[in-house]
Amino acid sequence: MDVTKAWYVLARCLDYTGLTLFTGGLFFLAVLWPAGAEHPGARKVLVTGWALGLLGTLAGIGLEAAWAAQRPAADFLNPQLIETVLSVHFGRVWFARALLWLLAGVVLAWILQQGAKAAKSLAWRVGAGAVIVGLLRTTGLTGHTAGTALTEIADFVHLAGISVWIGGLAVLLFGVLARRDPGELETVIPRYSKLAMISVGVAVAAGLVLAWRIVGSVSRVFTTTYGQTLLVKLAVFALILLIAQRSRSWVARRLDFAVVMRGDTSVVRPFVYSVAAETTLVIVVLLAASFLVTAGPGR
Amino acid sequence: MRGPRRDHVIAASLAGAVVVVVGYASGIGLHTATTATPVPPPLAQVPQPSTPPAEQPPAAMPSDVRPAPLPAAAVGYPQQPPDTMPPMPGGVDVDPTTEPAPPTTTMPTPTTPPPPPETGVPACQPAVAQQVLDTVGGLPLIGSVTGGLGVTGPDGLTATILGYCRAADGTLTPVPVQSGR
Repeated sequence: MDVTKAWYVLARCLDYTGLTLFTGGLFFLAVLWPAGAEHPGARKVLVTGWALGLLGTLAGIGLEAAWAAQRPAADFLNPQLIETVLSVHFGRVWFARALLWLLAGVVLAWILQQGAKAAKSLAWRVGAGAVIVGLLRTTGLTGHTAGTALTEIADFVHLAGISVWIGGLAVLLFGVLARRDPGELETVIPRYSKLAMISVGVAVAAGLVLAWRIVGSVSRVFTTTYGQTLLVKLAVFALILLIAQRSRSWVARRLDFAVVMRGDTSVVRPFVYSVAAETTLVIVVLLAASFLVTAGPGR
Repeated sequence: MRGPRRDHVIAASLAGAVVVVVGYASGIGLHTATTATPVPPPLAQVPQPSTPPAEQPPAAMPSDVRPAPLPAAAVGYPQQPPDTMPPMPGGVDVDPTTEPAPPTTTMPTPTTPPPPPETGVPACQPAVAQQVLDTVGGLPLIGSVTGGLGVTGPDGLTATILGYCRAADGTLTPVPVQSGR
């Protein structure tokens, strides 16, 4: 792989990771766990997501410019190249994304200052919702999905489902499970379990539509690099679903016992490991997604 | 009252700003202007080879992948064709109809220093670390990234640190590659 492209793929992966952590984390706090806005672990997830998203977007602009101009990756800060890429569609969209990340900084600062009070307020939820929608929407403006209404809607829904799932996983792991508060375990985990099942189902359904529209035929799945990368992504995703099923099984059978045991570490540990494995493998899925958006479906 | 009212103003401002920014990203208003008054390319005065349109044609594969031919690529670097595409090893990612000729730059071929004469150095055998790194480098996704970033592979960072047994003419050379090329 071209070195500049490798850096560009890495920037896209950072962008996706930041997007999912930030938007999914905000959704988790707004809908499932407003009190978590006071918890350092959950706040770190949001801050990390925001930083990764902004960094990935800014780096993506420069690296796309360097890649297109066949320049070394070190030229990603070249003002002429950046000026050039900003004059085309990709640059315009990604410049808008950078602005949206700055607006997201307002949402982030708001919740960091006011904590649970902000997470429960309608005003913050409206502002956060607007930023989330903007970030998800602009992600689909420059991909394979841009062009037709069906694929753009499917892409938006796919991204939304994945973000709710992955961001929720991170907040669950570094927030809820780090505290192991019995009351929060009892209330938040079952609700997230249902939400995750719905979001994954939605993401899979939208992903099928995208695969059908982008790849086109089954034979291309096996004969093109794009299709093979998609297969890798699906294989890892299937593995994650198996682990997720194990997590669901734990919630159904052991959560009550964990609550009775006041969140005892040894009781909760299998669930923590399961969620941690899911979160780790998700990075591979995001990396595969970064390859897919930088590859041609027909080849 | 002042607190909630201020929050509402911030929320409304955020929502409005997002609408404006997404509208800008979507190109609202841009098409009208360009179709109403055909504006010459912004870099038309600059002597340069004929360039393709800045945006990829809608009929083509809609992706951000193909690094769009940059209209000003020849401005700062007139020696470089503006419609060139980055090299795509494997030839899998780029539409061949728009992809230019492969880059003329050639990757530096690793040089294996000849073994010192009559030293009797034992044959270089790949250690476990190299075998593991080679395996990682061969993985479909991770290998591409680690290889591209120069972490694995014969010329990678790990080879620089740990040394690397190269196969020359199908045989193992007795001396690991020196790093200070």
